[in-house]
Amino acid sequence: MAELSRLELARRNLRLVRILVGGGSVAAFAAFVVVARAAHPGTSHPASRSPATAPATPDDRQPGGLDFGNGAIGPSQGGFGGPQASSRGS
Amino acid sequence: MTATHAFRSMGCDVRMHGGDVDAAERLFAERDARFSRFLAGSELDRVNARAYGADLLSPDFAAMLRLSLDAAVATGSLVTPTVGAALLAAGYDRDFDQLPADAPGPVAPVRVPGPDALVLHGNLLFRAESVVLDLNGVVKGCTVDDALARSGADWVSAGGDLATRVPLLVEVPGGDLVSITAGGLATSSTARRQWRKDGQMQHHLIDPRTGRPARTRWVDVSVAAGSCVAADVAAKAALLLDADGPAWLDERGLPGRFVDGRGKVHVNDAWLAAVPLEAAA
Repeated sequence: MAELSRLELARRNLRLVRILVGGGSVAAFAAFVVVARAAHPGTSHPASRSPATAPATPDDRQPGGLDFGNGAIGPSQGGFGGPQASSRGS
Repeated sequence: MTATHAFRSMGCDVRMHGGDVDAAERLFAERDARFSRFLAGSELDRVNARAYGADLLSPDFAAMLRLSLDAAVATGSLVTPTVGAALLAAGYDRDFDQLPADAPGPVAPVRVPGPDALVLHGNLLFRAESVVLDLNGVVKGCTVDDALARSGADWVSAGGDLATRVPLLVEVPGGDLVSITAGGLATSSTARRQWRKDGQMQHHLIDPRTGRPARTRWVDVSVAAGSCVAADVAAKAALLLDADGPAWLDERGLPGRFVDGRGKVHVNDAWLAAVPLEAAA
């Protein structure tokens, strides 16, 4: 009788695990579908911003590479006064 | 007269001229809280706690990771978000201010996974192998750019990386001055964040080809580019490329200024064209 009880208990545990795993899989799959759908370029709606006010905000950038652009530096004789900022390394 | 404001964030001094200071401080604080490797509860901490499999990211995190993957593409995987484990192995496992003077234990080289170990689809991240992320290659520079845009400031700088919309004079390593009229200027340095592990000097710029802090002749590399994050990424890549750094920048039309271990200044052709030597002196 004790053996049967242990066997029955093991069967119940197995059923419980199957239910939990099955339920978890269904929930995970459902979540994946919802998220993947929301993330798909065809259904996502990124906030639009003027390029003039958001030149490098990652949210606005399109995948496909980093645009280095052009550096706009020159000699210091510009008549701007003394040093206003420093670039001393990070 | 417009004031220059200063505050501290991301372990460095942030300065800005004009604009909405509160908006800039808020942005830096948000990004620091999200992308800090050392802040328990940050999103990066959560993502790195289980360094493989699938994760749902916040839109801001996904966008920053996408930017870092773009940086990896643009630099031939030299600047990559996959160096987190190598940084930990080098001993950079807590806030820089809290690092011991000399941590015990040798530095074992760590294989740095390629960026293709990460698959980012929308806000979903898949990692087929263990990848500890570190987004410091882009977070600070990008936040400087974004703070400039969102606050309306004339210019913003953080720990040596700056973005501007007005002409200003900038002091570069060694004391020289250059003018910058727009875009970004950034300096990467092996001398700024240094610590010892097992008696060996370490720094935060990991060479993904070796999995160790880079061994390079350059101590400081300054680059001007269209934005602060672009300048910062290019400066890191040029520093890691050692002798090939100046030409790599020239191929992309980026002015670069290099300071070697003896304090001697070298400039590439693009820098020389923009800042003739007699003017830079």
